[in-house]
Amino acid sequence: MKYIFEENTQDKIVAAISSAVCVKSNAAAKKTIVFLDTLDKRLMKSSMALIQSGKDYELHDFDISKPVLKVALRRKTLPKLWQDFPEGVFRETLKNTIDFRALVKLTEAELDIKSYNVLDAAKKTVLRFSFEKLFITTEDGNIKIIDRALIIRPVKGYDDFKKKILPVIAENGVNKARDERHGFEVLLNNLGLHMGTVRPIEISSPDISTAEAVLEIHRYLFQKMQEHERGVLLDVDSECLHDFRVCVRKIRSALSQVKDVFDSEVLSPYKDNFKEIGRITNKTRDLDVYLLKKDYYLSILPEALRPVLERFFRKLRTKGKLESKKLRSYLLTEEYAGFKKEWEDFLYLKKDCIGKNACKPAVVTARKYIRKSYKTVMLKGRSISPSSIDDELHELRIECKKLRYLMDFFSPLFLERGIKNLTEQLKKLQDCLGVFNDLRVQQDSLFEKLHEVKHYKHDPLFLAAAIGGLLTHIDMEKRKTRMAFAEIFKEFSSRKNETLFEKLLIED
Amino acid sequence: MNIVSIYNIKGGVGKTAAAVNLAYLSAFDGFRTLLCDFDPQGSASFYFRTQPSEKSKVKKIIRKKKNVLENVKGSDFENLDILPAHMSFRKFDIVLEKQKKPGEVIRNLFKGMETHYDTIFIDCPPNITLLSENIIAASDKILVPLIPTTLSVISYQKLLEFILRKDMDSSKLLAFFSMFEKRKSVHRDTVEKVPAQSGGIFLTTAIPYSSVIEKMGLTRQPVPASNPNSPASAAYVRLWNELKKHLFAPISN
Repeated sequence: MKYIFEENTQDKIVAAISSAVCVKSNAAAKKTIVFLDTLDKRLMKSSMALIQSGKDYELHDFDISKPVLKVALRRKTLPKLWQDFPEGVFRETLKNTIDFRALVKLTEAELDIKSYNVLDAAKKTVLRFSFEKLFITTEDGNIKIIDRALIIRPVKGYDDFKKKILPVIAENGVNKARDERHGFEVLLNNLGLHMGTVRPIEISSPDISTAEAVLEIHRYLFQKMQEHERGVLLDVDSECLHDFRVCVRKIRSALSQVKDVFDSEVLSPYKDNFKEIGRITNKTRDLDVYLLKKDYYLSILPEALRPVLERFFRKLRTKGKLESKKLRSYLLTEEYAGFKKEWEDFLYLKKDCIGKNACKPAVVTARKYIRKSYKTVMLKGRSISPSSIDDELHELRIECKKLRYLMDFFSPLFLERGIKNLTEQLKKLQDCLGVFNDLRVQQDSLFEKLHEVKHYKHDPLFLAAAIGGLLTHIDMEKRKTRMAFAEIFKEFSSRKNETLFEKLLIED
Repeated sequence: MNIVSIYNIKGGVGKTAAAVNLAYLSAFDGFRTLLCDFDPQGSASFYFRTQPSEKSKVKKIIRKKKNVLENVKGSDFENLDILPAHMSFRKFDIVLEKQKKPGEVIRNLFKGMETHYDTIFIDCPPNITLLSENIIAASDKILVPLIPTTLSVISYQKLLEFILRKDMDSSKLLAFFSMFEKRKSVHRDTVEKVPAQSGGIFLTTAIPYSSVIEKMGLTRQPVPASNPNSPASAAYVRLWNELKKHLFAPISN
């Protein structure tokens, strides 16, 4: 329970409460608190915050406005992964929320607390109250108070004491806070971070023009791209690069699929630049994917072949670090920074609508391109047979991605028409095609490595045998996935889903 | 949700101390924990400085779960609540006998409590009655503290036979030695030999006889809170860790 009080009335309030009940004072505490989360804000999406103060870590639940789990952990550096915490409920909760993502520092603040316990005749604590001030020090050295409140925490089963105290504090100028948010939530919200599911792309109004909608979509994607870019630069975890690449891919998709909005000559250099960024990140990502698969690869090989594969992965890791360094160097170049500035200017400075779609309602344009993309997916999907080559499935996968991106971009305009359900159906198809493509890419790369084995100094025969073993296993998995595809596409292209797509795209 | 009773026909064997300390450790670990003090002596309630409300008479409590929840009190420790004992609990058996399915009352009472609690500990009175049968039937595990002496072991055997006669699951019983004094040869022999001979499951942790545990009545706190560095505290932590394995990763015999 949060209350607001006038400054410098703390002592008066405590004296008033003490005249009504027995109060025990606790030592004042001043702590520096650090907020941790993954770059994709997995804790915040679950309405939680991980807060560190000294050796103490707590998981704060914003839905009930209090810490739910605490643990002590002595470390020189901040923990990065759930595995860095001691075994127990805390670690398990973190594991289930953040999975393999690494923790980063979101922000830091200072918290002053003066707390008191109200005791009954048996000296049992029946209520707790504390004066809490949360503040930050700004860049110019000033103190900025984020939140200042009297927090009352009744103990279950002792309502009488709460009822005794409330009138007393009311008489002393204490009022219930209108803003019930916990100070931590206020702080994070001030930074633009919000609890619960991170908002999807927002299109501000259903009557928005195509040009404005496309700009909003690009602004959102660009912001996300820069967030993930920070993760890549800090080398937080390998998923940051994946997320960065996905953003770049989505930007390229939005540029190429929704046509005739802006001058194509103006857009052309941006398209080329984003393509180049995608290309530059390829090698690092390919190596990351290999390294992520390491444990899986080792598990499917006989023990005798594992040591040689371990050595092989060590070399890959070294190579991966080098490629990662090259990538980070590129992201720090003036050329890259210059390109970003130009793109940002394009997104935010006024420009004329010159394409034929620019001034049309966004919903009309969205329908047109989603319909076109959906038809392409259905055509390509239906043409795939057991004798089709792998490339055909790869092409279908690309078309599914384009459709999915369009549906994601414009989903705010179709929420009432069940677009989320259709996106889930499409996702099942994409997942299957994704697995198939992963296996295909692994197979191709391993064949390449096989050709290079003769140059390998340590046990080339063993390495060849190991790669051969992996290739056999991957081929079996690929065939299973290929067989599963037929059923999954049949479900996706069912009459039921066709009807749902028709309903989605029908004009008002 | 897990329900753990601490039970023995004999009194003075360390039941309440075990219930209080294990409930504390469960809460400390982050589990939402409720300690039900069904012993009308109210020792567990005393340790946590909680008093029952007048509305928490046994007739009302067993009627529905809502009545239990309304009479629960928060302890001084995060995640730990207490259902304090009420004097009317001495009439538990009489009240239970008048119910439609007297053997299932406690089990039904705790159904659906998993939205509120992860672990429920029950401090049971030292007798063998309809209430005991109810608690045994409702529990996932029954911890049986034993002082390592002949008479204590005999009472354990009687309990085991009683469980088997009633066709209840004897693997629920987890015995452990309590108030163990290393300097006594009888204690040492019993701890060493009885587990293998008994036919029941024994936890390996023995809680030592300790003045720190006796002083709980003065500190009115669980031992890991008042004396976290004591051997007694370490023993309860080991006991809790063993119990956790049985609760969350059951070992098949």
